[in-house]
Amino acid sequence: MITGINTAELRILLLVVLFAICQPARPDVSLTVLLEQFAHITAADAAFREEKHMALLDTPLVLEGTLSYRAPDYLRKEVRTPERSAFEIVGDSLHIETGAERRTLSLDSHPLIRAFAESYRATLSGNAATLERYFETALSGTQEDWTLCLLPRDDHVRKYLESIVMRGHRGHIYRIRTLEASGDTSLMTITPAHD
Amino acid sequence: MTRRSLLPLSVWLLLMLAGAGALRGTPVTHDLTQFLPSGATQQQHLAASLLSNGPASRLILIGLEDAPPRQLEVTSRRMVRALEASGLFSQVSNGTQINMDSLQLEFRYRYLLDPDSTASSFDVQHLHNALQQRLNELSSALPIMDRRQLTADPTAALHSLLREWRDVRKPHLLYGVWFSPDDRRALIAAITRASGLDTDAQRQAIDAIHAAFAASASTPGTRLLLTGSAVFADTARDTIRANLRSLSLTASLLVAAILLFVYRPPALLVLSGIPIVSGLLAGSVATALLFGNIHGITLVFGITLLGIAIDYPIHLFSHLQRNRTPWQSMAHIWPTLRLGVITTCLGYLAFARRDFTGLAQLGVFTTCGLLAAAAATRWLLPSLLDYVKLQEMRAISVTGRYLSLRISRCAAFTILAVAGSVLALLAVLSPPEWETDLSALSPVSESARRLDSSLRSAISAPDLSQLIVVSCPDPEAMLEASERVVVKLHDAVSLGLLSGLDAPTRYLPSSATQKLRQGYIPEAPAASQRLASALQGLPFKKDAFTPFLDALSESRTLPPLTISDVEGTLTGLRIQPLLFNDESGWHALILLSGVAPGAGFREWWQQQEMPDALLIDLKETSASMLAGFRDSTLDRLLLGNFLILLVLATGLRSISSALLVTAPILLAVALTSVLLGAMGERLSMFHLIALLLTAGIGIDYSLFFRHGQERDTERVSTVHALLVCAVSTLTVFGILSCSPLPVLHSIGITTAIGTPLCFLLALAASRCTRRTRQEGDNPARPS
Repeated sequence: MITGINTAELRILLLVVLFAICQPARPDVSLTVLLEQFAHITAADAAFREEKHMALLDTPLVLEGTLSYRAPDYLRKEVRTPERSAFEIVGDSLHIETGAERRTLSLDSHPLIRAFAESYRATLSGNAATLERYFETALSGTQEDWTLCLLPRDDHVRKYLESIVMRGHRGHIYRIRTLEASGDTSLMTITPAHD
Repeated sequence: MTRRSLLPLSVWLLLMLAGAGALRGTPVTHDLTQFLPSGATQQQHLAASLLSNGPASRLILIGLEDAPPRQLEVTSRRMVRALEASGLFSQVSNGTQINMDSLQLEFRYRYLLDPDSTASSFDVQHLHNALQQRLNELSSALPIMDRRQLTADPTAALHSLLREWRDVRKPHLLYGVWFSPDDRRALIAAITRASGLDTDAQRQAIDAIHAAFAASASTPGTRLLLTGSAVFADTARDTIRANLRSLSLTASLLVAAILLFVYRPPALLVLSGIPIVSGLLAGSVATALLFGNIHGITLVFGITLLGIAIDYPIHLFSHLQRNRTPWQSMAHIWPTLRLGVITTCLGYLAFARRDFTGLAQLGVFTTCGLLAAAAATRWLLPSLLDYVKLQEMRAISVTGRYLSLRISRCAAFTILAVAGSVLALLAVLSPPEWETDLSALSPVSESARRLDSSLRSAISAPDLSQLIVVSCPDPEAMLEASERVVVKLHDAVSLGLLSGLDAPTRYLPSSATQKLRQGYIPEAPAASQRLASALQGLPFKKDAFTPFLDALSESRTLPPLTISDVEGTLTGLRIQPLLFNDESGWHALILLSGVAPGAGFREWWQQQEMPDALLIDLKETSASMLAGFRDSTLDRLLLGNFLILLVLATGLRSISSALLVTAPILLAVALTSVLLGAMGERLSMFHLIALLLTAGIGIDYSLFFRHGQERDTERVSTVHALLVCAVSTLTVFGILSCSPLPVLHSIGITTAIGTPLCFLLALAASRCTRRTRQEGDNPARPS
């Protein structure tokens, strides 16, 4: 496992590697076309399973819960196990629930949370402009199996977050891999709810 | 004649020039606390110094409204940054998260400052629970991203320290900044570095807030609301200035119009201004020399001088006759006028108290002003009148003639009887009440006070009306004594007598407490052993928490933090408003919130034995200060009355004459006070001063009515003079009563009611006594 040293060399190396993965010679899919498919989605509900690998821990943490999206700007992440907690974003507001406590914050004053939230929400709502505002994007693969690499633009965010890589199939995201600047990673697997 | 007229004029001009020279550079203060009586007891003394220089006097609350909440949040954040950069404020807060980078000292001392620290803080079970808690946080929907401190502070000691900082006030948060509960107003609290008494520095701070707002507001139409005692003082200064200008201008113009109408030659108008200008200048010079400054309210009070001093030239003008020179006319009325001036001045001197700077200034200002005005009338005006071509006075003299000749004795008795019965009736039905609320006397408007209380409650600013002051000669002893008081007060909290408290020791415990907490920290081998046991069953790596073990061993040897160590740090900023030191030593303020209504808490407190701590109820203390002051003012009123009677009896060479002169005025003054009560005015010291002023004016009337009884022509000019006096006085004080400043309003309304009553009752009394005297008494002529 990579240790949490955030040096310029490591970053450059990482970028090279990521772009090498993300950019094949002949891209089969364009971001515009991909995002258009998402733009038709008005509601999405899914179950997720998240594995967190941290330098601090011997064994990874495993979280399970649900994700809900309602067009154009509502997103909720709810953890059911091991401990119930949730966050919700509506527009520019962030609501956090832990136990009985519920707090409202501004996404603008929490750029890191904004980056996390927008990676998923802006993709689902097909909002290329928002996505481009917070990330450098690189898309590769095919319609059937695409990979979207997101590199945060904000310096403060980059202190903690290295990259977010999403894999999907047409208008579905089924895996989100997060790499933190400390070297800690998280892998989230998403299964659409069938109703 | 020419030499005789030039000499007084040149002397006067020289005096005026000298006076103007003496006034140069005299500061005008607007310190409202000068108009608060300084206390006699220790409680009152502390309360007065808290009101003027305590934390409350340095707090400015800022409200932002009339824009969407998101915009207000942005404006709020920008303003806080701008205000912090200005360097004028020791603390600016809007609820935003504390920047961890500015907490280095607190982080280093976390195990000495952590309020949750106990003997069991570092035992295995406690450590295990804390680690489990951290694990839960890592697996929450919104993980803590900044994990730099996790390995050094797994028990989250810094977090519980910061929670202690936040718990005192829990204003409503929206988008991470303070908002009013209805989400319409963003709120910021700023504490100025400068003392609340430094009006110029406070002005600078207020200007900085306006500038920060102008630079930060992103939406046009956003409104800035400001409140706090510094803001009040500043507004009061502006109000006083604006009032001074508009009221004195209006009053002067109206009085000038009356004089012009009555006496016609404009030259007389100019002459009537001379005593007033002399009086204002003399009053200012005397005040400046005695006090080193002139208070804004004293200057405003100068307008009332206009209302009294204008009487002197009026008496002279009305008594001018073709067959007498102005000097002869002056000599004729002088004994009466002199008596009137002396009695009025005596009344004011009774108010010149050393323990009440504001009132002392008013007393000195008025006394010296009136003496100068009388002197100018006596020795300067007659010489100048030689040059004025007199014309027939008009119009008002018809009324005067009617009043002086036609009022029958029967009618006069009826007037007195009606006045007496109204007095008796009102005194029984609605006796006037005393004003006990100090805030009602402040020049702060009702709407400003309402805004203040709404911002205060929204921001959960502690209620400063009740607090405990712990006083000790040195700071360390003070912190220890505060800790003992806080422990006791927690009993009161559990008894439900109190909902919470804030004390400097919440942020900086005494050295003794810090040393005690150092004793809880295990030595290195024990610490690593306990940590290893605590990690059992948890997925954390064995060596992940080495930074924590290092911090523990460092904490065991740190020298405890003192008040001077924390200066300039966030802890310093937190304790600074809760401390003050003066010549008597160090004082810690323990602020109480949610004190149960009723006397429960007070009774509980009295049972505790806390020699260094004093419970101060600012509202009650200031009310008792007011009441004490009022009582001693009443004593002085009686003393003043006695002196006036003595002077009158000496001047008139008859006690019964003196009584006859004062009786109608006492009736008029008593009637005025019950009428004020019936109108819903609560009587304050300002009303009392005005009653005294009215009595001074009334005695003047009464003396002149008595003076002009010998001949009908004399009587006509006397009544004429008094009528003009009464009309101009009514005008001046009627205008004052429209002022929004309580001090001016009280004085204005009291005198505006009292003067016509004095005129009427003195006239009626003179009719009754004249008949009586004609029937046999030997008239006692004034000397």
